Amino acid sequence: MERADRRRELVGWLLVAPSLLFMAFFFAVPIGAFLLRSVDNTDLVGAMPRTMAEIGGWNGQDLPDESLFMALGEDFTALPDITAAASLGRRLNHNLTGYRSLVMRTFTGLRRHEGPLGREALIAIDKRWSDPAHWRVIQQERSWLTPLYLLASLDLERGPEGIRTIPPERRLFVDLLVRTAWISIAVTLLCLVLGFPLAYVMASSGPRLSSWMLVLVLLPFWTSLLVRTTAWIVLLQRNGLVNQVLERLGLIDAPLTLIYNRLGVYIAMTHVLLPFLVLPLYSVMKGVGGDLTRAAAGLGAPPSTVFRRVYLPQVMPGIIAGCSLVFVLALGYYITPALVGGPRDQMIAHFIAYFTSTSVNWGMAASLAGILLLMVVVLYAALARLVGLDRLKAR
Amino acid sequence: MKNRMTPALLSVIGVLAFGLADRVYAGETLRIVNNGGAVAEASREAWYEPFAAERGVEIVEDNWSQEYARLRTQVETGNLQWDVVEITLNHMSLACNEGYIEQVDWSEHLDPADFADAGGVTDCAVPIMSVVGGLAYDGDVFSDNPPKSWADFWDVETWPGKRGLLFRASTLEIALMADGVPPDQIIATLSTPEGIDRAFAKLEEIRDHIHWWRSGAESVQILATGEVAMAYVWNGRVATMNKTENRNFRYAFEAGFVLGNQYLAVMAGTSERELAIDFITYASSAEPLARFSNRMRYGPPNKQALEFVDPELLKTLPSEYMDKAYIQGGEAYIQFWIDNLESLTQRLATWAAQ
Repeated sequence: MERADRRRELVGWLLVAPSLLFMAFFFAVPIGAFLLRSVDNTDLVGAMPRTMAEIGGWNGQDLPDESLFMALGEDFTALPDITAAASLGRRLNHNLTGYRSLVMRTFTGLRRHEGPLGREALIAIDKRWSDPAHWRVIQQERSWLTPLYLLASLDLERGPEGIRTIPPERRLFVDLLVRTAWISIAVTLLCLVLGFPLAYVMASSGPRLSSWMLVLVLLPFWTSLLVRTTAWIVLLQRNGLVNQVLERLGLIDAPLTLIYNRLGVYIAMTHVLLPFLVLPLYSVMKGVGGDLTRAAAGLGAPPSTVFRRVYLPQVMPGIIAGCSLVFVLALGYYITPALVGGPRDQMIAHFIAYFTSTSVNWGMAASLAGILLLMVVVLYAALARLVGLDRLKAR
Repeated sequence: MKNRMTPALLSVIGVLAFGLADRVYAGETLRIVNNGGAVAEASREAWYEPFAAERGVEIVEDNWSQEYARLRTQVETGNLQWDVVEITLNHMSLACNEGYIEQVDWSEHLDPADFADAGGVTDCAVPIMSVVGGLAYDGDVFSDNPPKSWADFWDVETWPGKRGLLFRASTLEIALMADGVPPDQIIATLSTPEGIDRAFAKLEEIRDHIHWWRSGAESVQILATGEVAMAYVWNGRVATMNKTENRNFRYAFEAGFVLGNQYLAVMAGTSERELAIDFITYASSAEPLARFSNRMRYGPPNKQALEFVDPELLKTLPSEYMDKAYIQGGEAYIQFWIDNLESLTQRLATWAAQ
């Protein structure tokens, strides 16, 4: 009996093994590897092995001694090619602006240089090597793991006396996280306010009408996100349809600013995400029979009490599923705010894309992505705690 | 059953054969990346098709928006998708310095003196269009009292409406110009922390009135729809819009303007180095370059091309205001942007989003 059970269990595991393996290789491993980049410092430490070994002994104040200069010179001459020097320069430039040209000039200077590689030679190529600040960066970054990007994602940096906040003109990411969460909450609430009555009407009307309404909800759902967003630009722009109609009707004198601001983002994102709330909610409402509400009303409960104490608890799984779906999708929104928002309405995904493709700083991209992932996990855990994990699954 | 299968089978075979035939085509291929849109069309007409026909090669196009990462990752992974790349001055300097594009002795292929007036060929690249960036407005809107200076651009009381600016770090140069810094002092000023703060303080003055644009098409579109009252716009876009859409966009060149080049360069490590050099030599030579200029409405950086250029085009260029020009280029300019492109791009992005 026990053996049969164990065998059945084994067969079960074998049956899901391919999908588990698939998940591991194509989901967990790449995401994990990318997230590791947020603390990875091997590019730097690996490129300067001799300097990194020596620099721990330096006091951080005076000009380093000859052996450290020699180590740096040897590390530079050992770089395989100019692109290796370029990535080293780019990496150090994340810590201190100006390092990029210092590294490139040193690399090309040493190629032409003959004789010893020590202090005199390096300072002759670029006098910035006589500035301890440049050496302190290397000293600070001598470990295989670096907190640089994670700190920067929280508007922090390492100073001489420990971790401190960065100057206000460079602060952004804490605000950005709050903004991202806030826009997502607002869009979720807007979707709920608009979607709940819609789903209710769909669920309670006759089959013909409800299937037509379902088509109307699904039609935009099947349309490309870009098309829907650009349609809003046409409608909301300064001389767009909405402003023209309002002006013709004499309701406004000058065109309203409806787009390239937060309002535009709310309108477009709510429209795009509405089906994700309506569809799960509709399926739950469809399964709720009228018996209980009729019974409650028959026993003398006023309509508001029937709604609050009898109907709402029954459709709660649909509300939670729809809202969490919309919220999680909204957290990662990128194209819609980019097209209909102003620069102050961009969300965190915009900066992840910026660090991935424009500024090529994958450490920053990975830390911001990690923080976003953490937000989703925390939200999920909080919801699970609040309502129980099994209720999160839509029926 | 058998009968029903036959057409399906045939079509599968057909597709396979077509795919194979495509592979079998043995001629040389040159892969070129450009800035897309109107540039792609003009490049195709003026350069790609004639060159492909003349040399019996196939040209494969791609486009990019100067995302440096795409250039860099191709070279670093050794998985090249491009042989020739169209690139702006800032990125060209950086890529040439960091070894992502090939160093070429262009004097073996063309006469560098022809390009000297427009900034010249560099260690890596040849200029193919001289882009003027200036203060543009709709002449039909501001017919009585047109803006004449960058101070007017900043004056949102007298000239209400939004202002279009390019969302790139180089816009800090415009901010300093508007703050009264003479063109030859701009890079020196930006090189100090106080100068950078000064540029951002200038942008702060009109922060809520700025509409940032990211592509040339967007810059004229916001001007055309009235979304902005004035904008910093590249001249080819304005000339094209006036010509094809019959608009009356005008420039206040007397306010001062920016002059910078676009370049063609050879990807580092490409197996088609010689063909790529031949293509760039061809594209930058008098007649093909003039064809391209006439189509794009940008000035040709090769003076030999001038005689083939549409006289109407020359009239749109700010030739009589050259004393007001801020010319992007030179050793100090290039060194500055190599070090600061990344940090200032990030600071601008941060500032705008704050």
